[in-house]
Amino acid sequence: MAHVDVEGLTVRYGPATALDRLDLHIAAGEMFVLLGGSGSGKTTLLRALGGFIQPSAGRIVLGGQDITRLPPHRRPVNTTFQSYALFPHMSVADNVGFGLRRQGVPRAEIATRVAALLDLVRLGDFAGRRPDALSGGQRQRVALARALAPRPRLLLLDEPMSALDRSLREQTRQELLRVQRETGTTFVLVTHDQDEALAMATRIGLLHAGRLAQVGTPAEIYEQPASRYVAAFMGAANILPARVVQSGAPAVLELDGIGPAQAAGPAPCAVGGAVHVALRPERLRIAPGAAAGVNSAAGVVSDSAYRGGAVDHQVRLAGGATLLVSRPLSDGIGAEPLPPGSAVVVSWHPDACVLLAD
Amino acid sequence: MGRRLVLLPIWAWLLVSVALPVLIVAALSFSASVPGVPPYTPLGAAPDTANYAALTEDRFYLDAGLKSLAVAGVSSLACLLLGYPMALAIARAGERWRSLLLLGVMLPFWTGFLLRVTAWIGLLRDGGWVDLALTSVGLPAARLLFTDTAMYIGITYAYLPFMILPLYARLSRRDPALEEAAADLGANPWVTFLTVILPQSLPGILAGLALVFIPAVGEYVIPELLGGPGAQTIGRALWNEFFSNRDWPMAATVANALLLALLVPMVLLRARG
Repeated sequence: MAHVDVEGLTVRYGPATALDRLDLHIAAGEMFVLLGGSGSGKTTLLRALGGFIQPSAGRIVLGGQDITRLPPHRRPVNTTFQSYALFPHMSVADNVGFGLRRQGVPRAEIATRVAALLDLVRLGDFAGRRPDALSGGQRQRVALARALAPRPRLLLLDEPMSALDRSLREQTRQELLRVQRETGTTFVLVTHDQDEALAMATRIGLLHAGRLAQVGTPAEIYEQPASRYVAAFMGAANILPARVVQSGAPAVLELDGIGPAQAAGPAPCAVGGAVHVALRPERLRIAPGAAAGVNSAAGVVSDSAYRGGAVDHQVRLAGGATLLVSRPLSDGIGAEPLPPGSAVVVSWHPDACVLLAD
Repeated sequence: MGRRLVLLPIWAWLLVSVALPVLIVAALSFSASVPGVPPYTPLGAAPDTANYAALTEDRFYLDAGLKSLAVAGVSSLACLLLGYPMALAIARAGERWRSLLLLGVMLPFWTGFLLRVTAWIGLLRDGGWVDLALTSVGLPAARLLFTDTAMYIGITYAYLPFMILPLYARLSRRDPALEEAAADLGANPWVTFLTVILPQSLPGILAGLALVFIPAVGEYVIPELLGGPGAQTIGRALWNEFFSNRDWPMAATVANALLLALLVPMVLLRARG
């Protein structure tokens, strides 16, 4: 039994199914990130955990207690809302103390705990301010302190960084991780940003069409995507159909429009079977030349773009396929993109060729 | 310059419909009552403060004023207690229901005010619907018509829309996420109402109270038609001075006193923010 057990959770809105018999287990103290595009069901799952949506079927067990039918105000679960939802008619301190007053905590203890929480989120000097006198980042931290105040057994964060400037997000990520470490609270964070998920999560649950497409550590999700959908969502731009030429480990494949390649693992089907592989743009090497072989292919640069930290090249291969190759600028070749029309060889390590289930 | 031109009709309107009548009434209050047409001494000639002296010497006017303030106060509180849940329910209703319910609030305005108040006579009189309903379930007969209760019912009924509309305007703009946040932090629906919904709707409450209280203070028709003879409100006193006694200057003095009694606190309240 994990800290949070979601079993067979189904949420229907009329004929539409937002969550479809979803199972999920979250351990105590995790920073679990629910990742998905819009309409994937990630917000629905978060709202169901918070008690704002009654599921059509299934149950939610928190620390051994079935909370499926408990209304929000009786759940030991707190939320930071996407809009923060700070009470505009209360000071920062009164916002943070709101949950403690509901629990009937004595006045003096509320004052101490609120002060400690404001220190935790580095807002000690802002206790008397109104929310409308705070910046976006400060409001986000008040929302966090307010949600942590009642010492929830589970903290839900709905897109906590979506309303912040890009420059503030990295800092806020670190703050959230620090607060999570210091309080030891189990966090479930919803986001649509895969970078955010990779950088913060102990584990990621990738949602697609109301189901979990994959659950795993950031490295697992990134390196071993369970399906073409997961690979594409996690930024693998090159997903190619292939045929199995030789099974066993490692398998040998014939990539459509490219040529022969060794895969990272054993083939999921017999010789002659059709599969898909992902070749991550940043795992491909590109060099001027024309000779091709196994795990490499010759082609011509059709387009290139300077991206700051890397240079992206579109390469049309002799076999007909097009690959996106992202070359980091740290490899000593220089910042100048290869001009369109350059003859190049694209090559890769067998580990970069990841077999995908459909 | 263009902006001032746009404002010109508004100023002209305020001058003709507000400033001028107020000035005439003010001037009238300083003239004396004489038999004839018009029944007062020429305006502006020999200002006379006798009317104001009468206002303070005779407790009748003070009592009528206090009675009116009490009636308006009780009525506006009754409107608030009745109107708040209605406004909240309308604000929470679905898109389709909302316009229908708002239409329901406004519907009484399609019938004449006097007619609607008269209809209450039929409802409240002995042997009327309210009386019949009470006696049919075994309750003692209620003598309602021509009592303070009937007057309160009438005023509350007539001014309820003026409470509901500003409250609704405020409540329909509330952020539902705040109520979810309160629930999330352990507030049951009642505590959520007291700590989040009610404080946030305070401006709407004040607007509604003002819209009901101010006209209710000077209300004449409802106390006259539904209230008892003992309910001497300032509105009735004014009417009697004007039509029964034909003492226009005294009527003007009462009207001025009423205006000041309402205006001064309002201005002070506004000045305080």
